[in-house]
Amino acid sequence: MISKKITLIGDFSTGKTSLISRFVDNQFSDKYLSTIGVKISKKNIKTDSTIMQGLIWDIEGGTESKPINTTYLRGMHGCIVVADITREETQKNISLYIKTARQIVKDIPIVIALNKSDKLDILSSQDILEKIQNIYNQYNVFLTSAKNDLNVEEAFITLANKILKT
Amino acid sequence: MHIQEVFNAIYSNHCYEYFVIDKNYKVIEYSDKIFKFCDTDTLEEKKYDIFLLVPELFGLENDLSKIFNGELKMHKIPFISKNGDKYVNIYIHPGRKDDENHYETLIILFEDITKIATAKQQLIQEKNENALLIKEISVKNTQLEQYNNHMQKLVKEEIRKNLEKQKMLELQARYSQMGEIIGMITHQWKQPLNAISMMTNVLKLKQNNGAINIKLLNEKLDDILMQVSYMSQTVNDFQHFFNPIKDKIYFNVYDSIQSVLELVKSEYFHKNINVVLSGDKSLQAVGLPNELNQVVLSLLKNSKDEFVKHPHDHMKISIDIFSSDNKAVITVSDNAGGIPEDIIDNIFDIYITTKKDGSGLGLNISKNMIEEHMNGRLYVTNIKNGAKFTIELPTVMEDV
Repeated sequence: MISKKITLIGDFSTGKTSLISRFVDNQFSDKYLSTIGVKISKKNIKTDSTIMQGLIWDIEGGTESKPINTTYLRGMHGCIVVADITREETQKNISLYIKTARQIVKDIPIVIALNKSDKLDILSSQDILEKIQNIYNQYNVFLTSAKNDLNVEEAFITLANKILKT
Repeated sequence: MHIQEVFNAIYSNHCYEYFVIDKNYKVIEYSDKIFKFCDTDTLEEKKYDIFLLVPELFGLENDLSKIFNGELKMHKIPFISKNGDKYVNIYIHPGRKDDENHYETLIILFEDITKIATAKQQLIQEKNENALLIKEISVKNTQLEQYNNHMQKLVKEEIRKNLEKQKMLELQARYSQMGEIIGMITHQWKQPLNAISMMTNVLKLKQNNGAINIKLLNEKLDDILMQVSYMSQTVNDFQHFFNPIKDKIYFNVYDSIQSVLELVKSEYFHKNINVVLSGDKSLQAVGLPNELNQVVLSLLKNSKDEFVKHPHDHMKISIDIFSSDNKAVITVSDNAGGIPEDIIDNIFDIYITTKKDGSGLGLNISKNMIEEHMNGRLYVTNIKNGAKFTIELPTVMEDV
């Protein structure tokens, strides 16, 4: 089986660990536990053409004073940039994470997850989605909720398909 | 201490485990406790494949190759969470060299940093939670500020509406008073009009009989002119009464109130209400005389209305003017029965009235005129058989 390294990057407390937990173990916890360093999980992902083993890297979120450690990004095959839909500053930093990822692996397949959509009403969520989609029109942007299991699998499968096409 | 004991002591406390791999990325050596950092207990299951044993190395083939070739001295992957409760740093170092001086093995070294990582995790947790809290406070503050701004706008709007409403009420009361005074003028004009009519008829009759002479004609014409002059004065008083003076001025209190009585005396006389003005004829006050006149007129009307409801033989309104504590004081007292004790404390509130068809505006507007427009006071007390309204006005401009 083909294996690929997938990284999740973004600001702290945007829900990267929760997205992985939902995708890999179908679990969710409201309790916030900061990730330090990195944790790797494995999950077989059914793509359009095959089943791919994803080695999913849950990377410690960046803060204003401490950007993410780019060592973790070496050798990655795809990347999910995660932002919190309720925190505008995490959305503004999406471009920064895309730039960082592309500096490590040029032409890296990327999807964007606007997570915690359960915390916002549908109209507001759609407005933000539209705004972010307009800015990053070359990437797939998903409105996700690890809590409500919204578009989590879709985001990973879309990325897996993109990885296999490159 | 023997050297062996020293080694034992070091070894028993060491926190490093390792794999040694060859150029095919197969494990060829390993330390005893290395498997506590792997999700397997045996090499067979993973077929000695380092990428299966240490998935963190997956994707790093280029870096491993560079270390074999000597292009890269080492590679470190810090703070890796293993098996949920352990943290390691993974170092990839070059190992043995072959005969051609190329590296033929790599050492994959695991440094157990669980204690450090746990402490760091707590620090980061606190730091991130604080950052989120600060952000939340900042958002709440912004919301509070927006709410305050919104509230200020609402308050301003309400004040504007209230002022507008107050103006409307004042205008309404003014129109009501105008109607009242027009009624009085009509009343006052009836007598001179009748007199003029009668004198004209007398002259016409005399002329028809050929009995008119110059003396009689002059007498009657003088009488008619006198009546016209009286009517003209009444209209002038009316015009003066409603002339809107907006700037505060010094004015004679007695004269001002006297002009009100000139307008109403006829009607009150015919209703057998005795209106008596007394006191300091030279007392000056500062304010808006026409607004004072409207207040006095309103108080007189209230008394008159009470007398109409409960007439008796000695209906009397006394207006007294005097000075007290550098204030000009005007009291308007009647013997019309007084104000019921259960409403006297609220009698100046808007829409409070003792009359069946009253609007409840008059006294509220009167109080507003005296206290807000002229910096004075208006209050009421019940006296024997009646009520006494007291108006206090400043006597120097600085107090206004």
